[in-house]
Amino acid sequence: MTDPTASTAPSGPWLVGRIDAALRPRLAEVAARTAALRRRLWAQAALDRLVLALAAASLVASVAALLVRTGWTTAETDAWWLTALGALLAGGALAALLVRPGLGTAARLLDRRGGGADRATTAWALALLGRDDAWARVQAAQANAWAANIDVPALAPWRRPRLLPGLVVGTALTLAAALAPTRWLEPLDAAPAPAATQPGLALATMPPPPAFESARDLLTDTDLDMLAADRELLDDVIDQTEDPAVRTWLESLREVVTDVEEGRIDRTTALSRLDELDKLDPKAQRPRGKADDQAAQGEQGAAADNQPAGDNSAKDPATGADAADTAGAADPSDPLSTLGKEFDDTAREAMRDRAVRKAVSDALAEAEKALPKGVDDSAKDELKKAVKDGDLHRMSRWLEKMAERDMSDKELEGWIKFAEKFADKLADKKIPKRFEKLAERVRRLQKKRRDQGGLTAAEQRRLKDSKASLRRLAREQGDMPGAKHQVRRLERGSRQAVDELRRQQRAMRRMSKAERAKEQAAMRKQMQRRMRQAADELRRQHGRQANRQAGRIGRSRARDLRETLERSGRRAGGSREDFERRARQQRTARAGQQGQQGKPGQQRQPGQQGKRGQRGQQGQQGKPGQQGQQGQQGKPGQHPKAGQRGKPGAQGGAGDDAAARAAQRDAQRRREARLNRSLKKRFKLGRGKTDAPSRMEMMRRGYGKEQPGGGSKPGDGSGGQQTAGKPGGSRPGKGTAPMGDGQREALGAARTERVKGVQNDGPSVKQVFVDVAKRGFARQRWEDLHTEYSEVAEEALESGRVPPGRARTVRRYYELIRPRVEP
Amino acid sequence: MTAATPAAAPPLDERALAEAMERIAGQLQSLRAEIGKVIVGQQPVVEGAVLGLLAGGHVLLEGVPGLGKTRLVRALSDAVHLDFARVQFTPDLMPSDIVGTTMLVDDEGGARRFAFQKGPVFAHILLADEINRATPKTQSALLEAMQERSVTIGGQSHTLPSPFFVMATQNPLEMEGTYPLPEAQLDRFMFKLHVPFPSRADLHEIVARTVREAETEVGAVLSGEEILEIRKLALGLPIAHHVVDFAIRLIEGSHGSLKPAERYLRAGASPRAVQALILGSKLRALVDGRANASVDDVKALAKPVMRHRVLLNFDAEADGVDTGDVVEQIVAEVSAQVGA
Repeated sequence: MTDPTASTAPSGPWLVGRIDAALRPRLAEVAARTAALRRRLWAQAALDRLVLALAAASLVASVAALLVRTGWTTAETDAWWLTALGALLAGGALAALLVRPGLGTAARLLDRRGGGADRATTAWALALLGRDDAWARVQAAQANAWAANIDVPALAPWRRPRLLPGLVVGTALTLAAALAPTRWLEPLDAAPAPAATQPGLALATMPPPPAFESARDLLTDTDLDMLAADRELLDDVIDQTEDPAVRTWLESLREVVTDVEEGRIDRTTALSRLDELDKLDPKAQRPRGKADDQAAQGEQGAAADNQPAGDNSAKDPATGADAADTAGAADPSDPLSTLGKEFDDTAREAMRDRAVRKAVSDALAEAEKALPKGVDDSAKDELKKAVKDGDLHRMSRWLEKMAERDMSDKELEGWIKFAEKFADKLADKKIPKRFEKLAERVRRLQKKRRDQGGLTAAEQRRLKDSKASLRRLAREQGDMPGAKHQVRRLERGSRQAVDELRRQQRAMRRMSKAERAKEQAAMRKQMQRRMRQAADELRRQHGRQANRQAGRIGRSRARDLRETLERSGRRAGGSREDFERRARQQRTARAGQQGQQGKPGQQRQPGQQGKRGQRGQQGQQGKPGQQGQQGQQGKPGQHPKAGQRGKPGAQGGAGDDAAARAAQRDAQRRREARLNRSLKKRFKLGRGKTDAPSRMEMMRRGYGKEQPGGGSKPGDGSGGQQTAGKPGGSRPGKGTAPMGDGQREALGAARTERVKGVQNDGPSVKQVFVDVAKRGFARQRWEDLHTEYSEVAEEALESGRVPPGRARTVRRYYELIRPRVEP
Repeated sequence: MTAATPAAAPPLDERALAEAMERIAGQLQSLRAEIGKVIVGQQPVVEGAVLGLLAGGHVLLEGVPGLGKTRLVRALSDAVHLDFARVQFTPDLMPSDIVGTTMLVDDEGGARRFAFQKGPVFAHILLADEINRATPKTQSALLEAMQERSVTIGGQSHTLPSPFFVMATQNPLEMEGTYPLPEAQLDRFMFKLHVPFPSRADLHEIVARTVREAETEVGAVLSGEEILEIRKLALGLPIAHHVVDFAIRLIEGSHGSLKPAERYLRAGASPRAVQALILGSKLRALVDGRANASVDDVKALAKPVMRHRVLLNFDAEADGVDTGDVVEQIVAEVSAQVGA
């Protein structure tokens, strides 16, 4: 028995072919019904196609009639139109006549509509295959029996052509085009001139001016926290920056940050001001090749050794970088150049500075062992601390202090040994061999890959390992090869001093006692002078590094702000940020109402994490005079989401000049911020392992978080002093309790906090972690671990290895996992 | 125990075939009626079980306890007059508890020798109750027997009786301490049937029939030989190309060529699924008294055949979509494609 599913089965269009004449009688009923249905389908399809052609022709005819009547056509184009119409009708008629539904279509429709369970299609398929076995005959008999009861007209009743409405519309349009008056289609120059435009009407039809939406409203709580932190960091950095150009640039940036933070400008303005700042920053505009150009000059840095300390003629206005310091970056033998773009100019500059600090610190740490015995322990401790922090400024002060001391002959010898050891150690630090070895290996493998088009698996692994080691070394030690010019200059100064003093000592041996005593006194003075010179050199180094670091921090913060603003513009609608923004506005409004009701700060829990800024704002409302002054500014339009409008303050009419008042307000705010921050640990330029404080570190230091205050000075309830049109309590608060205590309380509160298990479901996750940590399972404090990790992440961000669009995600991640519990 | 084997018979002529079809349709109608005496409602499940028995495939029943899964198998075995064995799968069940073991026995002469003691697998119909509670080792012993239709113990092969039909059950709720069947083993079940909760009317009927003194007895209406004859007859039943093509498109569609599969499936159905679809469709046509299988038969069997042969991906889990839903969507898409 053959099976129809065998290879003889049709694979293309099905139910195609000729049936053996002997088999035809077997399918009598099925064939009759299928043919009837096929004719019916054909007729219906032909009607549909004709109507389609007529509808299309009528639309074309309507357009043609219109054109003819309005004189847009010529005799030649009229003929084209007629031809097109004729072609459409002829095509429709041909399609209607020639395109017939297939046997398969008809048989399948018969089955489907007649409930045949594929009897007809199977019968046709078996017949086309020529099967004449028992199964085929039984199947055909069943199909015939079923088909005999099929009423084809009932299966496929006539229906109205689908495009009949189209035909009606087309015909109506044709008639309208042929018969309707055409006066309205007269040429334009014949139309009456429009009435003169009245200015009042013109103004009335102009679109309304766009509503002001401050950039602050687009930002999330986290963004605002970051912004506050950035502003305070910039305050710290500006205070320590000596270079006027860098300082001015940073102050401009701080103004932008403050304006955004306080909702004074919109997003577009903020971005354009950031662009202007970018243009003023030559460092950011400098093409990459410039460093390489400088590199060609090689030892140019040495030439700058004699440059006076205060001479900034060769300085970069935004960064304070001078040619002497940057020349090292361009050394073609720089091992870090093998790492390609991984360390960009900015990162390498920071790493060079770090390398200098580390080299000096390490050399001083070694030399400290050779200090003369007369140096007391407190001075030694002072040096140790400065060395530990890598603080060149403190090292310089220490040297100056030592230079002021009277020194005995014995001590003079000790100081010479100290200087000698310092120079020796600096010489060791100049070009670390490990750096060169690793870099050479990387260079060799890269060259091989380039020349030979690939590496073996082992070589690839070696290249990867070498790169990783080089990267790690650079991260730990800084860019020491890049810093060799600065280090060499320091070493040369020390070495010269030591050599000179040694020569004098040798010369003294041939002198008489009186002459020797006199020479000894001269040597002591010379030693002191040399120490002061070294201190000056260290101070200069520190100043340059601080200026460069300030520039880097400024650029980094400007870039972050731009990213934040751009992102806020992109995702303002329907996103989580939008939700947060709305929630913040609602909270702001509520806070404003509370201020009016005179209940600010009284129920505040001291040291509550997270909401301190908002709680603090209630405290600020206890300064009616100042607020009242603001109230006189009367800018209701700028703050559509303002809290309740209060009465003008008592001193409300104090000034008319808005700019002066704003400046006064800023100055006052900054004074307060400085007062508060003076109580907490501030960021110091030119020291530490990382270039800029990580976000996490800033959080620990209290940046961006107004101090908790504990509600000690709540507002006096004089809600009437709230400014007209100012957002109610929208500004971050500034309590007056000492920051240190408040923070300790905050951490203490967080430390003792316990989350109870719900319905005796056991200890909370937090408890479990704390308990585990107590048992010693966690060997390292989370705080330390987080610091370590976040510093690495921050370095990666600064070095540009993370795509700019992802930087915020990384920072936010570290924000979210920052430690809130001290084990 | 009767180990029936299909008899080699001459090809039937048209009249004999028509009569055979009529007779078989009547017998199967009676079979369903007999089972219906004890199983209220659950028509798709009963139909699936009967088709599985006739096709020589195996059936996996999934449903919460108390829905009559075991009773269905017992009723089926009573109605077809075949040996029935039941194994309650537990974690400590060993392979030898299923396939049998070699034991030391005393013969009539007093001499001792090893003799093979057959396990419950040597029955025509085997109920593997809660199959997912046994360890994979034990599951494999049964599943190997299902596939090979023989067991090998001590180097000696033992053929299982024919027809051999396994109905396994599993409870979808209590998954603690169970060993879900791996996909390769699930593939050996021809159908996976979901036993739904009965309707209120069915529950009334269940109470009326079961909570009473008299026991309902199921009469045997089909023998093992007749089952094999039906199976043989079904294999010859003609099936049109477009029906086979429809089944193949379903399987192809489950491999990612269609949107539902691309979105929700990690792996599609095996070629075994096409075989099951076609064989099942032929049997379904035979049960219905038709001499041809149809696309509707394939559609009706698509879910039982494919639902355990496709693997969901994470998106499906997240959207709360089960394999049955995806198969339904695939059927709908293929139907739209071919105009069926």
